[in-house]
Parts: sequence; C-alpha cells; structure tokens
Amino acid sequence: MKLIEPTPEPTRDRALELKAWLEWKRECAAERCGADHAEALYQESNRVFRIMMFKRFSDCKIEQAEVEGTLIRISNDYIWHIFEDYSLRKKYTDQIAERHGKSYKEGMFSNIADAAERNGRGVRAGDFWAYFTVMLRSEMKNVLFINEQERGKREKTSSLNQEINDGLKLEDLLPGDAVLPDELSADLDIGETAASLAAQFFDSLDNRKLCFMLAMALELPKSHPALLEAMGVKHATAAEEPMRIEKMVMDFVAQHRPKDDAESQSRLALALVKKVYPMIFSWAQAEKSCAGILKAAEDRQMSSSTEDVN
Amino acid sequence: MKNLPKINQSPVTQSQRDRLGRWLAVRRLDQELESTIGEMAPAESAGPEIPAAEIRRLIRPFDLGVAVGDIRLLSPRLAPADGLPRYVAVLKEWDEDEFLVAPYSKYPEPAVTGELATGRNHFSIDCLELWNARAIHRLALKHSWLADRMSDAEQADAWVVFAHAFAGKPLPEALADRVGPPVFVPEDPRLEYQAEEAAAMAPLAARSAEIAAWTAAATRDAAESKTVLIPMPCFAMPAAAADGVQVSPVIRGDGGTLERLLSGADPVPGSTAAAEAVLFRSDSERVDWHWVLPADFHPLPDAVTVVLDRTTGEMVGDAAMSEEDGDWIVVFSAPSDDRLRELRPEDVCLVLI
Repeated sequence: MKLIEPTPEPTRDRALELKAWLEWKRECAAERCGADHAEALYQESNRVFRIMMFKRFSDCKIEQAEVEGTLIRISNDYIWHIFEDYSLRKKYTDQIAERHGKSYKEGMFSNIADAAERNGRGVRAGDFWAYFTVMLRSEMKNVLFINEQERGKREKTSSLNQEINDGLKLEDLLPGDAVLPDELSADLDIGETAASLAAQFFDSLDNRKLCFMLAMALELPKSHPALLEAMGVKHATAAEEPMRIEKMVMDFVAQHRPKDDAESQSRLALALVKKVYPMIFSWAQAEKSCAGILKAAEDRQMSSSTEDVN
Repeated sequence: MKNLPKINQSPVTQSQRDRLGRWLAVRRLDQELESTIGEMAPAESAGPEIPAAEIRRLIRPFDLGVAVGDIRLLSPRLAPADGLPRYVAVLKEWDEDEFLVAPYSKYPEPAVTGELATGRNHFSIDCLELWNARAIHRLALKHSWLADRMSDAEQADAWVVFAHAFAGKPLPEALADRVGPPVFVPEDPRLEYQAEEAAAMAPLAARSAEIAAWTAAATRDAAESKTVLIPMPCFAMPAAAADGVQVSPVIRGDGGTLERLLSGADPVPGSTAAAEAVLFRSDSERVDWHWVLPADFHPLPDAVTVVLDRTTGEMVGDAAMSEEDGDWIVVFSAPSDDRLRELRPEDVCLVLI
C-alpha cells in the first residue's frame, strides 16, 4: 500500500533555495520569509520527504489532514513545520529566549560551514538539504511513534511481547524481581576474578594513590588541601592522578587477564576498583596521613547534608 | 570503617515496563529509518556556491557564561558526527574548573534506571542520561550555545537520579516512575544503545581532557620545570611593547616547549606573522585587553584562547575570540587586581589550544 505519492523532480532554482535558507536563518521561521523563499523551502522539503518515505520506507503511515483512499494528502508546509519543531519551545517570552530555543540552527549552519571548508569549496543549497534529511529522519521516528500511539494501533506495552532478536522476548529482559548488579557480575565471573586479584592490586598501590582513591570515594575534590597535604603534591599533580590510576589498573588487568577482550578487561578493572575500596577504607583508619582526609570528608558531609536531596 | 554505598534496586514498576515498551518501539523505528533511508545523502554537485564565511557570519557566537542549570547545545565539533543537535545539562560545579554535565538522550523515553524523563515534551530534551554524566572542563563547555535553563526542581530531580545511578541512593517513589527499568541480561539492546551514547560523549570528553592536561601542564610548568610540550596546533602571540595600539610579532607554533614559546622563539622558522593591533585598558574596576589577530590568521573554530604570564608561565585567564568585520579579535576582560594592573602587553602572550 503506497500512502504517499512520489512527485517528479520539479525544476529547481538552487540559487533561490540558497537565499531562502539564509533568510530563514535570519528571520527565525519560514513564515517570516518572503513568499518566494518560503515556497522554495516548503516545496523542496516536501520533495525530500516524499523521496525519503516513498522510495525507502513506503509502508510508513503519516497522517496529517485528509485521507482519500490510500493517499495521504499533506499540506504544502507540513514537512517544513515538522522540521521547525526542532525549536525547543513553541511560545517564546522574548527574542533572546527565541534565539536560545532555536539554537539547533546554529549547530546546523556550523556543520554545513565546516563540511564545505573540509571539502575546500563554498556552500551549496544541497548541503542544507543533506543535513535537513538527516535531521528530519531522526525526528520522524518520534512523529511516527506518536501517530501510531494516537491511532491506537500499538498498545503501550505491546512491544514487550515482540521478539527483539534470536528468539529473545522483551519480557525476558524484565524478570519479576530485580537482580543486584553484583550478582550480574558474579554471573559473568567478573566479580569472582576481581575478588581474587584485589589484595594483590591493593599491595601495588603506593600511599599517594591510596590517599587519592580514598578522597575520591569520599567525594572530596582533587584540589582539597587535605588531600594535597596527604599526597605531598600540588594540585596540578593531583589532577593527573586519575589518568595514572586508570592506566595502572588497566595494565594490571591486562597483565593478569591477557586473553580477555578489551570490554571484559574494562569491566574487570571497574569491578577490581570496587573490591579494593573496602581495603582502602580499612587501611585509612590506621594510616596517620589519612586523618586529614577523613576529617575533611566528615566536615564536608555535615555541611552538605542540608543541600543533598533526601 | 566507612562502608561502601549499597546499591538500592527496587522491583520493576508497571510504569517502567510501559516506558521500556515505548523506548523499544522508538528504538526500532529509529533503526528501521536509519537502515532504510541510510546515511546523509551525498552533497549535490550542482548549484551556485557562497563562501562558508558568509554562513559563519549568520551563526550566533557561543554563549560563554556557562552556569549550573544551563541546557546547552554543543558545538558540532564536540558532538558525534551524525549531524544531529546534541544537548547537555550542566548539573553541578564539580572539581576545580569542571562542571558535571549530562547529555540528553536521542530518544524521548528513559531506557535505564539512570535516565530521567524530564517532562519537557520536546524530543531533543525529553530524557536526561544521568548515567552518562561527565566532569567537563569549563573551557570546553564554552563552545556551546545556551538553549534553555533547567528549573530548580529539574536540577534537584536530576541530582537524585545521578546519586542513584552512581552511589545507589534510593529513588523516591515519584521519581521511580520517571526512570527506566534496570538492565538484567547481557542480550538487552539497551546495552548497545548505552555504548552508542557513551561514545557520543567522546569528542567532548576528549576535548575536556586535552584542555585540562594543557592547563595543568602549564601550571605545573610554571611551578616546576618549564619543559612541557605544547599540544598542537597552537598559536602564540607575544603582545606589544608599549601601551596603546601596537604591532607585535606573532608566533605560530607547530610544536615546541612552553619555555621556547614564552621566550618568543619561533618553533617553526618562517611561520611568524604580525599582529594587527594590541590595546590594553585597565582601571581600578576592570582590565580589558584586546588583540586584533593578523589578517591571514584563520583560527580553528573550536580553539580555546588562554592568556599566559610570560614571566612566570602562569595562566592569567581565558579570553574570548570572535570575528568582527573580517577581523579576529581576542578579548580578555576581568575584574581588576594589583597583579593584573601591573601586567603590560609584553608581559603576556596568547596561546590557542
């Protein structure tokens, strides 16, 4: 069933289209542009949409105004106004709010200028339509979904019984009782492996790294004087500590699990760090140099308790 | 001993099940459209052209004053290359010079527990990915446009979901219905989606790390060895030798040490040019320094401009760069203090990173 008739390519005036895009940018909306410019935008946006939908996605269902048999007639400016829904707000309180709400135009025009410069040429009308196509395509998923919902052709949870792939149903994704993330890790043996390596990794951490990890766990900023004093470094050095620790844990995991793929190694690294934290907290209780960090964290917790939401 | 935070996981609610159903439907439509309509059409070869600079003149300058609660559209250079607008929410001031930032999802429904339905009723900012939050350097965030502001309630809700996602703090009942259900099985398509969305933040995170590394290196260099490598491409311009409008040499660097840069040595022979003008104004309230860059200078659109004290190597601050009537102007404006008032044009230089 073909719902939207393809239209033959009209005689296009690309110079006019180019001017129309620029005027649209300046004037904020097509309906504020000159009639010939607005018409150029409406006409070509309709043609792009019809090619997009008829040639590649002919079974989609877009409803707008009237239905005649299987042919959906859409008004001349319908597609263009769908595109303009990228504006964040429908009603603007002032011009500044309107400019902000229509920031997507800045991103679009930046993209177009960048792409033309990369190709060592000027900007053509077709460049605008290329980005228009991508943005409209992305927006269409929402329009189609809303239309389907409104027409009642899809129950709110009907997707739960459809197959995703390999026979897996969406209900399979949602067991009755929640499973704790730790148990998931255990299923994948990652938690177990992390536990077996934790003590060894803990031993490989020097005091500076231990202090840093302690402070991070206690949500102290990297620049906190108590942390810098405990580490015996300046802020610039402390700021680079996360990169050093990340490299260290990744190297450690790679050394102990060289055959694992990168994703498994990353997950193991995360699990390993989680397993090491209790050891760091234990160590910190007896470590004199950590007293300042623990005190600072306590003070911070007290002062932020009213700010924290529940 | 302090205990690690416990992960609080509630059973899946009916509302979350409904949301997942809708999310999967939108995801499937998105993938169908992508596979059937395909990538961006190749640019037409026909038609008249206008210079890209003419397009740039129509683009609103970035909104430089980043603040907590902002909803910002990222510069395309900091966003994935899919050509779509990408918005982020500025959630909190984080560490020194950093903001905690979370992106909005490309789908209007929350997929996982760390995603919050904002109730904004606009497909670009309907769903906030708190699980994908990052600490981003404030200078990296300046390359974005202010699109809107979050309300206080939105900010508070976002923070609660963030705390739930990262620290396992319990979700209030009202918010439990505004997030997605947890992921339970490795085959869940939401994991693939999360990988895509995490990758979408990579350009912003990389730029932030680059700026943080550079500024940390500059600070360390000032305090310690002065042997840090300048990340490329960079551009440095020692300022004029006297008050008022002066012509001064420009150094365009293709690599080298900060020490060489500060000493005025040209890292690449033959790459010097001339600054058009330098103007320093200061009074008891503010300092306003202006540099007009050379006529043949074409800055990288995502360059961040910082002002360095040439004597100490310390960063004085970051400056704003804009194009005015074909000239590239760099402006540094800050509340005045004794140190700033003492600085003369030849005491500072600009570095573009």
